[in-house]
Amino acid sequence: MSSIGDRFLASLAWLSGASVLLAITLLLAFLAHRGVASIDLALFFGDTPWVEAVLGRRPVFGGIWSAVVGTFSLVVLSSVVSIPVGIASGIYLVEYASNRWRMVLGFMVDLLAGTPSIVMGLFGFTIILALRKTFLPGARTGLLLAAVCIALLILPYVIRTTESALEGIPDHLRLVGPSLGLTRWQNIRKVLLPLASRGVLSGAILAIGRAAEDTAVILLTGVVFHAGIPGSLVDKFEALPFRIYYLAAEHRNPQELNQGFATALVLLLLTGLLFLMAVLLQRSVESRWQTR
Amino acid sequence: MIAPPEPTVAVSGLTIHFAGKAVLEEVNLTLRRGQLTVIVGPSGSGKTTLLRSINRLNECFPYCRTEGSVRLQLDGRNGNIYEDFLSLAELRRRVGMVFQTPAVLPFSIRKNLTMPLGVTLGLTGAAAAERLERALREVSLWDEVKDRLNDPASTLSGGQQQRLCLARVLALEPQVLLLDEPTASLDFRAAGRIEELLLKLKEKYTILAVSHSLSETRRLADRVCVLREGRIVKELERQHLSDPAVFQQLIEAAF
Repeated sequence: MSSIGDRFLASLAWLSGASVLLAITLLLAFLAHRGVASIDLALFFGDTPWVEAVLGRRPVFGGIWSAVVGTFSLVVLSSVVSIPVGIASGIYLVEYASNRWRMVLGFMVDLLAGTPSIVMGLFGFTIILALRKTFLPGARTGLLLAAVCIALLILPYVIRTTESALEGIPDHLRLVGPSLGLTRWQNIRKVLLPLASRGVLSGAILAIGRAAEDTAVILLTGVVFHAGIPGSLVDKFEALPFRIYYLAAEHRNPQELNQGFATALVLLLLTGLLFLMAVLLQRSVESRWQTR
Repeated sequence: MIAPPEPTVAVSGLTIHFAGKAVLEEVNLTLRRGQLTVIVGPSGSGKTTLLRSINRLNECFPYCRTEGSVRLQLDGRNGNIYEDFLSLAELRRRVGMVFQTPAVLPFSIRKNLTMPLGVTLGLTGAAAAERLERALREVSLWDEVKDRLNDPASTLSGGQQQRLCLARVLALEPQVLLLDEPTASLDFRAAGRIEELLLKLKEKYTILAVSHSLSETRRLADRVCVLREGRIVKELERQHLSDPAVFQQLIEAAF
């Protein structure tokens, strides 16, 4: 009887795994089928010569180059804010907070994780309104505001994964540092963080992915269709998910729709590239930790 | 008969509570250099807590309250470790501890030893290398690992890992060693090597060990303390250990 149950559960597990694979393959195949043909220089740069566009000498109008730059800056900025803060919060919750604080703060982190991104966008928008009415009448939505709101959105992923990675360290390794005379911070820095680095990385990857795809937050905090490449942190910007949304909703001909699919592929590739950067960074840090 | 030397460690009236529950009660114990003391007792009798009270490691766990004193004799100084006699970091360097599971860090063999040296003593370069070699020789591991110091420590066998952990402690030049069932997770042969090592090390260090194995206790111990429900209920000296049958009887009566 139990062997039948075992087999049933095993096949269910296999099936679930296979369906994930199938879904991703279908998605990629579909995107590739509709989009690959449209990936060319014109997709990125429109009529502008690409060298001039990349060097920033001439603005790009018909292409997605500004959106690529916009999304890249958005992800990097929001990660720079949220990953260190998230790791630090995770460390605080596991290593320093009392049980009571941990419960309260943990609940808040969950609440933050459950906040819909449109609400986060509204939050950013309200901040700007408040600033305009008080001591910064010139405040407007832009890259920095969007990055901060996105950072808030992805913060819980980093906190939670850091927390569980630290919690997963067995007691006998947790005690090694203190037993050798390391202070609490030295133990965290030299023993616990290296042990948790892979888990922390997976949180960073989740966060990067989420930052790259979010549209609702940026809609209210500074994304514009023809913004060009932002010249400063308070400028309006373009972003790939917004571009995709725009092309899908407002395309005037089938070519534009196909450009939308191609843009989606580019977004996937860009996110992949960012993941790769995160993995390489973690590997290099890890190998330094292991030997030096 | 010569007068026994000053005890290196003198535990008196030690009572430890965790979350209001007494784990150790009124424990008195003295440890001397050149003597290997073994604590035996049923699970949950407070053996590990007693061990951890001597390097204040219990404080890494929540809701711990310690009463009584643990006096340490160090380079002519003498003081209660619970009364700011030493900094916590120095205390734990001077009173080294080895755990039941070989707790190697996921670093290279070299870094397992040099990291604590660098972090706690600021030793790097040649000074650290010299201590590393000395410690590895002391645990007879040098010849086995000298050509592969940059390999991950996890590639060593269980017994080698445990000797590496011992070397890591010895590199910090402790005076007291606390060993929490150091051979429990090892096979017969590896355990034998550790035992040999301990018999050699006890000449130089004051050693307090916890053991589950009565035969091992008989081979190693100069003195045996039987712990039951947080109290030391019996202390046996070397002469009681020579006859296995008598020893077995004494222990069984105490358990």
